[in-house]
Amino acid sequence: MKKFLKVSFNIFLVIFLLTSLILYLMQIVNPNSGFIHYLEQNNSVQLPNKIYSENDNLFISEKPLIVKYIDIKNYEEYEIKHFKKLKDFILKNNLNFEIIMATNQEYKNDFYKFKSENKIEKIYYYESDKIIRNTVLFEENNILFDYNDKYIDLDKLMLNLINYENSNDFYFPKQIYTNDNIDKLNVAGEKFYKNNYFKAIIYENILNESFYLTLTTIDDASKKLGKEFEVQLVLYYNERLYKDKMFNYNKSELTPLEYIEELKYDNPNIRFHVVYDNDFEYELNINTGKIFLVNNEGKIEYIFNSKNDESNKIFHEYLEKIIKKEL
Amino acid sequence: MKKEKIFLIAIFLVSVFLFWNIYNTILLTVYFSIIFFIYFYITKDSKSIKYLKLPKLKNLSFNLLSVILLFYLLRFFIAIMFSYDSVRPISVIENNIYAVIIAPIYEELIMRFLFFIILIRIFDFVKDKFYKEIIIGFIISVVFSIMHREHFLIYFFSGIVLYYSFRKSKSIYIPIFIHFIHNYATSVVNILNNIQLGGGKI
Repeated sequence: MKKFLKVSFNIFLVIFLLTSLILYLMQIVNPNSGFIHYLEQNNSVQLPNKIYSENDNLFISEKPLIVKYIDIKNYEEYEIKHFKKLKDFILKNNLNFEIIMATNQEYKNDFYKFKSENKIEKIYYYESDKIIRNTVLFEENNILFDYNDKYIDLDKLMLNLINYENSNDFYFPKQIYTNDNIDKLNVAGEKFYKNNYFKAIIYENILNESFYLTLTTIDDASKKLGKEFEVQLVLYYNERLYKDKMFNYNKSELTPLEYIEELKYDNPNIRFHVVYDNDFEYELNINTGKIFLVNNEGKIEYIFNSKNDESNKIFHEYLEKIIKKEL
Repeated sequence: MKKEKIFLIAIFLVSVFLFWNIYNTILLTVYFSIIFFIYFYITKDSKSIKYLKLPKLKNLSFNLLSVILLFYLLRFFIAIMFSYDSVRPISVIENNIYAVIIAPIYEELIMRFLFFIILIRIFDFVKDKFYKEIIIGFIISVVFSIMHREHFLIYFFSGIVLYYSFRKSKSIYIPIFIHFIHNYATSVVNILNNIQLGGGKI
């Protein structure tokens, strides 16, 4: 018995060392091979499928997935609050999900602590030197939730989504939610512009002087084009910061939500999709006032900046041409 | 059962519990320093100190241990060779100081050294030395792999190799050295993979 154990141990040792060396060589020569890759393929290890990453912030997974990249070093109260909200929603709705957290080796233990505290089994550790603070929630190819900390770059996000759709012949259900309206996630899934000719994705400072004019023009266009033209309107505002301005602007005491309801009422042909975020305090730093006009093939026809008068003028001319069916 | 044995079992279980639940390295160091102190104070164990001495060269003559060392050295040189142009060795250590330097020393001192000297006293009723080694090696490797919380089998086998190198060399420095090389080489792969995959695992 002893002899048998000794011999089998020697055989095991040689096999173990040889395979580990070969697998190591395979990994170092080609990272897409080797044991880790094998495990990935067999779902034992889940690393995010990085399909598109122009700005290295947006990862799109093929699988039903929540990707939560957290830099644990800078893990703040703000994010914990947000994460708890997300977790509650996931558990309540019994979503198919996985969470991947990115952090540095140094904070690996913090990750385990986080994992045990939150009692979510499907959290995977993912090591990264980069500080990435972004959450994108996908469920069967549907974006349910996107949260990009305070520093969201909507330009890039939108472009990424549009490019992804374009290159993959694929349509997202078209609403981006943030932590404020997470309760409304159940309405996501409506494929509202799949078969329509144009979509305009606007994200605007709703107090922008040119906004109303643009909206009216789009409304006119959509009235004339009917279902051929649909608008996705992404409004970004901060309730606290805009409150006073909003009162002055409307000369009434409408809350932002009531104001949007009014806009919807005034522009019945436009389908509004609204993103609002109370915690979004850096809105002045982002490029608001962009309008993407995208055809039904997903190709971006024009990008307009309604803050820029010249661009705005071109956009209005362009819309006129659409109305006259010159294009 | 002797009082001392009950005490040792308690120390072992407390150590496993601490290792599983405490995430702060400084706190763990403090706890384990106390445990080391209590262990040596209670047991008056002076024999075990020999494992903290440097290995004797005669133990490194051609045997399975030297084969293991050779394999890991080979891995080390491969890592150096492949990362020569893109990754400076010092930056590998700088970026992964916990994985490359602290973890090998820390894990080997606790897993191999402390657990071994505790378990060898607990299992003193097993008369056959060979089976005693197998039992202790198995327990330590299981604890070692569970502590890593992922890839159970890989860590279990690695634990066996590290335990074997510890017992064969009769010095804690050899498993620390192997552990260091393994983590260093893995860090290099991760850094190289980072360029293409955006991340990796240790």
